[in-house]
Parts: sequence; C-alpha cells; structure tokens
Amino acid sequence: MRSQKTQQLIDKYYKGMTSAAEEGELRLLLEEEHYGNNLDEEKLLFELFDNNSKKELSSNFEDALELKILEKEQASSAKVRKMHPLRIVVGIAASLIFILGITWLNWPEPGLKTISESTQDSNREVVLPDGTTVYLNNNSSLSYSEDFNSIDRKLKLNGEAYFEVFRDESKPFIVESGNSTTTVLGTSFNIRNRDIENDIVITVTHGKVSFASHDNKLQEQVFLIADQMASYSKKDNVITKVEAEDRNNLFWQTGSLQFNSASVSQVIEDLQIAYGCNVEVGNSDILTCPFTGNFENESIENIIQVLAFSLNLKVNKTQNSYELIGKGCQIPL
Amino acid sequence: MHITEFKSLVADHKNRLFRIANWMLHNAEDAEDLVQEVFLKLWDIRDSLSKYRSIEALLVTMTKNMCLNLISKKKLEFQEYPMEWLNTQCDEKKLEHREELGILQQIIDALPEQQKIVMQLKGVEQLETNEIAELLGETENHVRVILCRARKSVKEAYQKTLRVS
Repeated sequence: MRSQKTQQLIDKYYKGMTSAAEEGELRLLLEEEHYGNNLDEEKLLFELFDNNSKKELSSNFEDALELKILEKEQASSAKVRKMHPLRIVVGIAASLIFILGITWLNWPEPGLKTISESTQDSNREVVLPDGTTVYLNNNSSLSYSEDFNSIDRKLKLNGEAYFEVFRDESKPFIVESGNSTTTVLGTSFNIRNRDIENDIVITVTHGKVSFASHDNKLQEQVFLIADQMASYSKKDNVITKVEAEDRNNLFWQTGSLQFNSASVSQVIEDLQIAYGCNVEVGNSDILTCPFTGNFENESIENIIQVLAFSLNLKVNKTQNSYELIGKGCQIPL
Repeated sequence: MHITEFKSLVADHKNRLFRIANWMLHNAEDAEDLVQEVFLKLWDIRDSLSKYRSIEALLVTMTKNMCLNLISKKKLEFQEYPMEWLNTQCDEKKLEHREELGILQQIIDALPEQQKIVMQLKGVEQLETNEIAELLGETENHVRVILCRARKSVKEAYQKTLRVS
C-alpha cells in the first residue's frame, strides 16, 4: 500500500502542483515503498527523466562552435579597408604573419616548469611538443609551460617567429604578447615583436586567426583570414584591420621583397624592417613617388641603387644609412 | 558583446538546450547541430540582446521552434522506434523496462508540443513552475494546467496500452 504521504504527493503531482523538491521526495518514496511493481507509470516516467537528464553535449562542442563563428565573421568582413592599393600579394602559402608587442611576466602556473627557447644573432628552428614548427628569428625568445598541449597550446613570444601550427581543433593555439592574444586552431603564422613603442602588426597569409587586445580598460577583437592584416596600437589600444598588399613582412623567411606601385615611404619602411638599415630622403616630395620592383635575396646596396635609378635620385651613403637626394616625381601617388 | 562573454553564455546554457532538443528529436547528433545553430543565431543578434527579458527564455524558445521546424521538415515519425535509440535510453540492468519505456516515450511524443516541453522542463530539468512560466512566457497557472493535462493523459494512455496487452 502507498503511504498517506505518498498518495498526497501523487495527487498533487497529477494536479501539476508539486515543486521540484516535492517531486524529488516522491521519487524517493516510490523507490522505498515496494508497492505494486516496477512498471508503475510514475516510476517509469522518473526513470525516463533520469535517463534524459544525464545527457550532455560532446566535449568539442564549444570549439566547433567557435570555429563556425570565426568562419561567419570572415564571411562578413566587409569592414576591411584597403591600405596600399595595387601592391601585389605574392609569397608563401600556408602562413600568416603578425607582429606583436613585448612584455610578459608572471605567466606560468606555479609548480609547472617553464620551457624557454631563445636566439641571439641567428635564426633557429624549434619543434614544439604538439608537432608545431617554430622558426625563431634573431634576438627572439619564446616560452611555454610544462603542460603545453594538455588542455590548450599557450605560449609567449618576444621578438619574431614564424609558426607552422599543427592542426588540432580541440586545443587552440594561443600566442600571448603584451596586451594582445592571438588564437588559431591550426595554420601557420609569423609574429614580430621588436619594439615597445611600435604597433603590433599581424599579417595573415593563410588560415584563420582571432587577434585580440586585453588592455585593462577595453577589449577589442578582430578575425582575420588570408591576406588580411591588423595592427594594434599600443598607445591608443585600438585594433585596425586592413588588407595585406604584400608579404614583405615575411622577408626574413623568404628573402624576397615585392613592391608594386608602392610609395617610397612604404618601401623605406619595409627596407628598414628587412635590412635594419636607415634610409632617409632629402626632400619629402620623394616619399609619395610610386615604385615597382621585385627583389629576391638582393643586397640592400643593390636595392637602393635600383630605387635611386628608377626615380632619378642620387644616393648619399653614410655608415649605416642612405640618403636619397633629388626632386619628387611628376606623377606622385 | 565580446567573445569571452558569449562563450560563458554558451557554457551556461548549452547542455539544457541540448537536452531539450534531444527530448524533441531523439537524435543526439541532430540535437547537437541544432543547438549549434541556435548559438550561431544568438551570435548574430548579440548586440541587441538587451531587448529580451531573458536570454535563457530566448534560447529555449529558439530551440523549441527550430526543433518543431526540423520535425515538420523531416516529417519524423515516432511510431516505430529504432532499436539503437532504445538502447541508448536505458541502462543495461534496466533492460527489462525497455519496452515499457519505449511505450511511455511514444505516448509523450504524441502529446501536444507545449505539453511535451513542459514535461521535459519539469521532469528532466527539474525546474519550478514559475521558472518554466518565465522561460515559456506563460502564466504560472497555465503551466500547472498544461502539466496536469500532460501527466493525466500520459497515465491514461499508458494504462490503456497495459489493458490492451
């Protein structure tokens, strides 16, 4: 026989008046009191509910969702503005480049060893525990915790490195640098981080990337696909997304520079980054002249000569710097 | 809305939405795809979420409606249950209940959609009546009426099948 208590609860239950706690109590009472048989409708219903309440989504649900969101964002990346029109994209497939800001501290979790790799005057290739290959440029270092590749793949970079990330969607690959975090699920990219004042620039040549800043005051995030760049201004904490017009940022890996109707000011900027030399102009009109030319493993000396010749300029060479002297061109950009 | 905020929203609601979808569709794969669709739609409207009285209510409504769309699209028939489904529904030691649970599930599936959802929210999610009312945009009293009708018709239908067999 059902107890009075059980019967009261059942009546209430069928009126739809029971609270969650009362239904829990009823569940227990029905288990305890061995009235009737196991096939009573109420008991079976609770069993059915129990079976269903254990159900959960598969563990990679959130990663898969995030990837879909990334794809969605890229499909609707209409806000991208052109930076240097006509500069042609040639270069390495399967790579993305970015240049990030310096400084990181207090990163590894206590108790876990930190593994560091660094270079001084030369480049070096490093293979990470997850199979990712990293080409570390000169005067650069990276560090990661002992538990790299356990839940995610997080590392910190100072300087410049080119990454070929082993694809693993369940473990996002995260590069932290300064106030920025770059997240990829699997692709290749280059990071450069040389100067505290300089902007952090990321250039994507292949794959998908989330690039975010995490300054104390405000957070910003952009999604990038192939041939897009974003620069993060450390001064204003603002991320600007632009189309990448060339892959000159990859010079240290490819040894090639491409200029296609690029302004002299852009050429000078790229030469300074690529060769670490100083180039100046005697007349600021020169800066807006267009220049076209491709260089493969060429010396800075030769490039400057070609540049001067095509723009009808003279070169004044001092110790580690070049000065271009002459007039501006007839048809500036 | 920033992605980290969005992700915590996903973490908070994903399994409940999945259970609702799975309750409606009886297919974990379809349910997972559907919940993903729900969150993608939410991402699209992430900047206007303040318009809604409750994000959870919005998510439950979206899930429910998308399930109904999918059911009518696929014209899913729950008259005959695939054995795989029954196997996943029951622990092995309760194998002897399998047939009865299958019958019960068929009865529940034949209920009007609102009754089916309320039964799930009350029985599986173990929510209080006022919480269900909030999620479905109904009055508490109406939820009680729905629950009362659903439970009574399940009981009657089940006892009828027992008498027949």
